[in-house]
This record gives sequence, structure tokens and C-alpha cells, in this order.
Amino acid sequence: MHIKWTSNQILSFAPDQFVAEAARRVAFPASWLNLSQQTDTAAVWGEYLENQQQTQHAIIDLMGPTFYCTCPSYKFPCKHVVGLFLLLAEQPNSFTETRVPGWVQEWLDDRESATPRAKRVAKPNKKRVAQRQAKIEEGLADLELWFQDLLRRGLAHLQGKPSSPWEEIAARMVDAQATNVARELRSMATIPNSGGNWPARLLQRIGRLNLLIQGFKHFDEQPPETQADLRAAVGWTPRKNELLHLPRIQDNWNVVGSWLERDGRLRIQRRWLIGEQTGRTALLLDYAHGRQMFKSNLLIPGSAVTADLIFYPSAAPLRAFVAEQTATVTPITRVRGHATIALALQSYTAAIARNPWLPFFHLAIAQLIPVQDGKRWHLTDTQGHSIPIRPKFSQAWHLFSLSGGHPVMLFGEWDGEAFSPLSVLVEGRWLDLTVMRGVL
Amino acid sequence: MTTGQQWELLVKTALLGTERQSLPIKANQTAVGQLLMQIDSTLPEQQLLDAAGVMGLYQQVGQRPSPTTLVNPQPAPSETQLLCSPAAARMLGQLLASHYRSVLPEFLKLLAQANQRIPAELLPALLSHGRRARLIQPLTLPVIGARGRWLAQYNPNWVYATFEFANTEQLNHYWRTAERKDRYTLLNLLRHLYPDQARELLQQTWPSETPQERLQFIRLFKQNLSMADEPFLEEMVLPDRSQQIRQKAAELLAHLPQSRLCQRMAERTLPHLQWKWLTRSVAIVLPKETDTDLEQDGIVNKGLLSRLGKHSWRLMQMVASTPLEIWTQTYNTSAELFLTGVRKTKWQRSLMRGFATAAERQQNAEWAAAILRQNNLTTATNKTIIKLVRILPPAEREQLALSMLEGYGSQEKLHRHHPFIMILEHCDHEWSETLTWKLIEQLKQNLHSTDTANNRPEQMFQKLLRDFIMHIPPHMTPTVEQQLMPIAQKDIAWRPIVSELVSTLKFRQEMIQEILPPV
Repeated sequence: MHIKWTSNQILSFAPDQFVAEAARRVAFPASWLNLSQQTDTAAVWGEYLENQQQTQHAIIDLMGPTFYCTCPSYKFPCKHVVGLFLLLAEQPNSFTETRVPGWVQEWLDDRESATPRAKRVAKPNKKRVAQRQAKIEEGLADLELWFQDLLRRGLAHLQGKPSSPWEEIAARMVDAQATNVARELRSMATIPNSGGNWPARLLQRIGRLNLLIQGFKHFDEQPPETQADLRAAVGWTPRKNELLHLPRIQDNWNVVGSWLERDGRLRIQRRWLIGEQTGRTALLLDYAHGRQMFKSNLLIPGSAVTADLIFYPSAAPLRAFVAEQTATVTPITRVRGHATIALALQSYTAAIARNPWLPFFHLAIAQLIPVQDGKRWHLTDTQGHSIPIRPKFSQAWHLFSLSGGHPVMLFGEWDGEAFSPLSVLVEGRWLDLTVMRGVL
Repeated sequence: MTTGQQWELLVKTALLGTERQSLPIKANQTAVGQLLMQIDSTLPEQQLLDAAGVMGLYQQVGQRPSPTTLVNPQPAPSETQLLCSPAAARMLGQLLASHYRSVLPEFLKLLAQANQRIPAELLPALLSHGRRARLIQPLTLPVIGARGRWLAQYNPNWVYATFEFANTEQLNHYWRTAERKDRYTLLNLLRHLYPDQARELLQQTWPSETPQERLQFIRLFKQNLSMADEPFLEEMVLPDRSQQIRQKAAELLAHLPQSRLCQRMAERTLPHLQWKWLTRSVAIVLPKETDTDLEQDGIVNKGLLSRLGKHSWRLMQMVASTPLEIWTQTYNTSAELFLTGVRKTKWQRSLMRGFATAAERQQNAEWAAAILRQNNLTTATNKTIIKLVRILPPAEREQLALSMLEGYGSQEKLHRHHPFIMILEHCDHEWSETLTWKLIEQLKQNLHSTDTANNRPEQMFQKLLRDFIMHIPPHMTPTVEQQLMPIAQKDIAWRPIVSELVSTLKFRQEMIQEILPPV
């Protein structure tokens, strides 16, 4: 049984709005030849009429879903693929059920052999590890001196000044292969001019970076999980094939939320999974730089998949990757949430206590009611506590409408200060908030 | 010292700098306090860094939710209407995302007919759209359900969905106290749904409204205008001090042939057009003197742009506000004959326009048909006259349109200003199969509306085709697709517009079948 994707969900596959709009224009049956599908192999394909002479061939494998197209576009999935998918969702009768032709079968076979099923476990190169470690430690030593200097002169000096000193030290971190630290520094550069209680906020972030510096200074004294967290905090994560020896956690994983973030030319996709049996939460993190495409399957919120996950080593394991997907994607089943905000926050503080440099965390809370307070939105629970929703959240009205003053279950990200709702469970329906639009 | 105070001190020190401020780490019995004391103090700035690290993490981990002072909203009441199907919801999502937008009003009307409501997650988009598009506003009310009305209370942009039209007291209070644009929203909605109530509301406060407000509000009376509005317009609005308002009132009253204004006009105008039975001609006597009464009744002096003489302009306006029965009844003749007589006069162009305006205002089909027959409809025909097509019954409209394809019309290639297309523009009904077939044939044969600069179909023509979609009978969709697909395959320039046409038709067809399935 295949999951029914909505047009909005499909359009959210598009790497940007231009592709989305182009896909809309392409999604007319008149522009396609041989629109077909084969239910057993879950394959869908067609040929797009570019002009009199040329056609582009596009294939969708509904199992992933994964895509393929012959067009030379560097954006992936391209407009042809998204358009084909839209056609499948909106005008399913345009497709004929037929046998898989040669060129489609070839691609399907090719992909099977590409999945790292029995890949050999790689061992990290000792010399290179030592080199990188040394580079990082040097860079962090410089950062320590920079912070000391800053605190000697006082934070007040930063107000009203340009961010160039921050850019410089961030560049130094990039040289030292500590890219996450660079990003954190660039983000901190905006705090002095952000008003409110900025000195306290800035000092907090400085404090956390200092813990990182100190951690690296005493690296060898740390347990291996913390060493892994320290390296991850700096931006150094092991390759997937270096982790294949770790135990695989098998479960029916529900995809409860996803968020696409852009940082310059880098696109970061976060997907949150909750295991039905184990109750564990996993964070899938995928990067694509500039014109690259995301390499992994595009599991979307509202779907569930039986798969083997491997967790990256950590004192508070959260990040994981799919080692093997054993079944097709199905609609989401059951998701449990914490009964109160207090309990949910406890899961956060417990994790932070073990890994202070946790960049993303999640909260799944049942029984929340959205409430408006001036321009800000908050969520209250059954115990009379509330948490604020982040200011730039654009689906507040959709959420409010869905709740109708009644409690709903929410899943979203928590950064220590504000909540970003990603999905909502209301009256047995699981909805992805991030694709809802229409309110100015 | 509490840990909170300790943190404050740390922040203050950091702000000023350890050069200027010494680091005050005080003894403290708590575990955190003990930890802080253990920090190496040789280098004050490093000590501050480490203390910040410790305390920062301590606070983060010690995070507790705060008890809230916020009050939960009243839960929304339960629904009485059935929810529309998931397929219909999906279609609405597409419509709200600007695809096939022209179909949205029809969709909402169908849903209202089926007494169904839309799902909660689509309410914000629809309500926002209704706020911007006044034509959609009244159509949203029957389909938003109890949840929609509940939701609208919380967003001032959606106030239009919160009015309880039965609660006259509340409505009166709102009318007297709300801001101008909200009052305009209310009055606009009322004129659509309960026009008499709208008038009563305005009548109450008319004397105290400013001239700008009066003008803005009175413009809304075009909607659902009836004789019930006549007393208000004649007695309270027409005598207004502002000329603009007087003119507006006169224009509205000219739509009501039984109004006192129209009767006055009839008396005034009659002597100026005299029917001569024997010669079947009309003798024109131009009005000479300025009549202050005329000005009171909205006849103004000619604008600078008109090419007509001062007197003929005035006569044209008088004719435009005169009930058409006057001519046929007084002279015991037909509209056709009378107009033939008018044709022979020197001022036939301006008079024809006057009669056309009168016919449109009074929705007089007999005169409309006569006028149309009198004028050869070509690309040069005046817009006022073409608009009369709307007043004719559907069968006559189609006949007129089809006649344009014979003789002269059949030589010319189809384009935006072809008489056939111009008439179709005003055929505001569901077309017969015959007419639809003719259009398809013409499209197949001679599609020629290109913007030569870009080698694409002319924008206006595209817009027209989109509007035509609404009138093609849904059951003919497969035929249209079959016949027009080859164009799409053959000519790249036409592919987008034809594809869109066919897709929209299919969308409409699916929509109708989904919401109101044939029994």
C-alpha cells in the first residue's frame, strides 16, 4: 500500500520555488508521452515533450521515494520529476499500468547495487586523524586567547561595532577545520546589536564555546562518547562506512518532522524519526552543497519505514543514519509524546547535561493548546505551564485553526528558548505544518 | 548570594571587562558554588570564561517551565455541517495556491450548495484570500463552518467572517463604533446578503457621515439595487450638498424606471424627441436652457474629453436616464421602428449611445436586441453597445455570436477583437454544445492571436480563453481535450495556454463530480 502524497508535500521536495513553479507548469498530461506506472515495483515513469525533437525521460521509485531524470539540470529533484509526481497525485488516471520497459529496469537494477548493504567497514586513517586533531587544538587555542582578550576589554566594546573581528576569527576556525565553531561565531556576531538582554545571551554562548575549548585541551581524559561529541561539536563527524560495525537498531520508524535550512550555499535537511517499538528518537542530518543533491532517500513527515538505523556515537545519542531500508514507505502509525511540558523539558535537560553542545533537540508533547499573546504565540499544557513558539513561525494560524482551542499533540524542535512546531496530530490525522501556506 | 545573583555579577563583569572590574566569585554552599570556587584564578579573564561555562550550562540544564498567566481560548463549538471530501480539500488547496484561480468562486458556490465545510488547516488561507478579494468574501461564509467563525474572532483581518447578521443590536453597535474600513466591509457584505438591512443601517447614520464616507458607501448600492432603495436615494441622497454624491444617486435611480427621478426625466425628455408617423422619422429639438432642476437630477455639463456638442451631450444624458417605455407607449410604436427613425437624425451616434445606456441600466431586453440589430457589429463597435449582449436571453446571445461567423466574420482570422470573440465575452451563461463546437472549430482552424514581439499568444487573448473555460459545459471536457490536444503537440507557443485550458476544464469537471455527484 503506497502512501498518498499531497501536492504540497510533493512541491516541498523541490529544491527551491523556481523548480516548484516550473514543475506546476510542466504538470499537464498534454506535455507528456507514455505516462505509466507499475504497482509491484512501485515505479512511475514518463517522457516529457521538450519540443518536436527532444524528450526528457523521468522515473520515480515510490519506495524511497527516489528519482531520476535525463535532463541536464543541476537542481535535484528537477522540475520534470516533481511535475511527474504532481501528475501522479492529481491526475492518476492519466497513467497506464504497464510492464516496466528496458530503460526503467536498467535504472532500478543499478540502484539496487548502489545501496550499501554489505559495504566493507572502513577504518579511519590514524595519521590523518592525528593531523586534524592537532589542527583543531591549535585553532581552539587561538580562540581561547581571542576570548580572553575580549573579556579583558569588556563586551560593551562590541555594541555598535561592525562584525569584522568575528568574521576574522571565524575564518581562522575554518582554516583549523572547525567549521561548526565558525558558524557559531558568525551567529554570535549578531547578538551585541540585537537588544534585550544581549550581554547575558552572549556570555552564555561564549561560556559554551569555552567548555568546548577546555574539552579539547583535556581531550584524552574524556570518555569516548564525549570525545565523539566534542569532535561533532567542532564539525568533525565520522564517515558512515566507519560506523557500520556498530549495532543496528531495527524498528518501524515514524518520520515525525522535517526541516530544511539554508546556510549560504549549504542546504541542511533535518529529519526526525521516532521508533514505534523502541520509542527512541533519531535525527537524520543530510547536507548538500550548492548544486549537489541530497544523497539519501527523501522520507517525508507522515510516513513510516521499517529500517535499520545506526546511531553516531555520543553521550546522548541522537544523530543516526539509515543502514538499510527493509520495507516500502507506509503511512505513519502511532506516535507517543510526553504528557506535559515539564516532562518533555526533562528529556532536553537530561540530554544537554550529557552533551552540552547538542545543536538540535526535539520535543514531542501531547495535549498542547496554542494561545496568542500580542504578536507572540505560546503553547500551554495541562499542568498550567507554557513555552513560547519562535517568533518567525509562519504556520501559527494554521496550528491555531487545527486546534480550535482543543489540545493537540505537537512535534517540533527546541533550542533552549523557543519551540518550532513541525508536525501536529489532531483527530487521528498527522499533518506536516511546514508545507502549509496562504496567510500573509 | 544566590546563583542567579552570581550570574548577574558575571555578566556585569564581562560587560565592563576584567581590566576594569574584578571578578566577584563569592563563597556559596551549593554544589555549583563549590565548583566555581575551584576554578583556577591566576588569569582573571580565563576564570571568567570558565565560570561562564559552568554557570551557563548549569542554567540551561536547570531549565524549568514557567507557570503561565495566559488564559486558554474558549474551545471552538462543534460543527453542524459535513466536512468536504479529502479530494475536494485537495482541490481547494490547489485553488488557494493560485492554480486555476478563476474556478474558485464556482468551487465555493458548489460547496455551499452541498452544505459542506472545509477542513481546519485550509481556513487561514481562505479567510486571508477573502479579505483581499471582495468578490470571494460573501462566498466564504457558508463554507467555513463553526471553526471558521470561531477562528475569525482572533484575527482583525478576518472580521468579515464574524458578523452575526441576525443579531441586529450587535450589528448596529458595530456599525456605529467600528473603523471606516471595517464598516465598509460590513456594508458590502450586507448589500450582498441582506440589502434592505444594509440600507436601514446606512439610513440611521447618514446625516452624521462625512462626505467621503457617504460617497464610498453609496457606491455599494449598485449591488442588489431595487425599488425599496428608491425612497432613501430620492429623499436623502439626491438632495446632498456634494455634486459627486448627487450624481451617484441619480445614476443609481436611473436604473429604476419606476423611480420618481425617471418619471421626471421622462416628462423633460419627451418633448425633445418627436416621432413623426408619416415619415417614420424622429424630429430632435435640442434642449437649450440650463435647467437647475436638471443639475439636481444629476445631468452635468459635458466633460472636456467629449467630442459632442454641449446640447447634444445633455440630450444624450437625458435619454440615458429616461424609461424606455415612454417612447413606445407615447408614440404607440415599436423600439425597432423608433430606432430606425433615430438613425436618420444628425445626432444618431450620441442618441444611440444614450439609448444603449438606458437599455443597460433598465435591463431592457427588447431595446437591447433592437439596438444590436441596428448596429453593424464590427471590430469598431462601441463597447457600450456590445455590452448589451448580456441583457439578451442566452439563446439570442448565441444566435448573435454565431451570426458573426458568417459573411464578413468568416474571412477574418480569430483574434481578440473579432466580433465573435467580443460577443462571447458577454455570453455569461453555460454555453450550448453547438456554440462550444463552433468555438473549438474556429480555434483549431485559425488561431492567430500572437504578440509578434515575443511570438507568444497575446496576453489578453489568453485571459479571455481562461474566462471562457467557465462557460464550457463540463460534460464536453473530453471533446475539447481531444480536439485541442493536437494544437498543443504541434505548436510550442500555444502549448502552455492550451494545456492550461484543458487542465482547468478537467479540474472543473472533477470538482463538480466530487462535490455534487450525479444521483
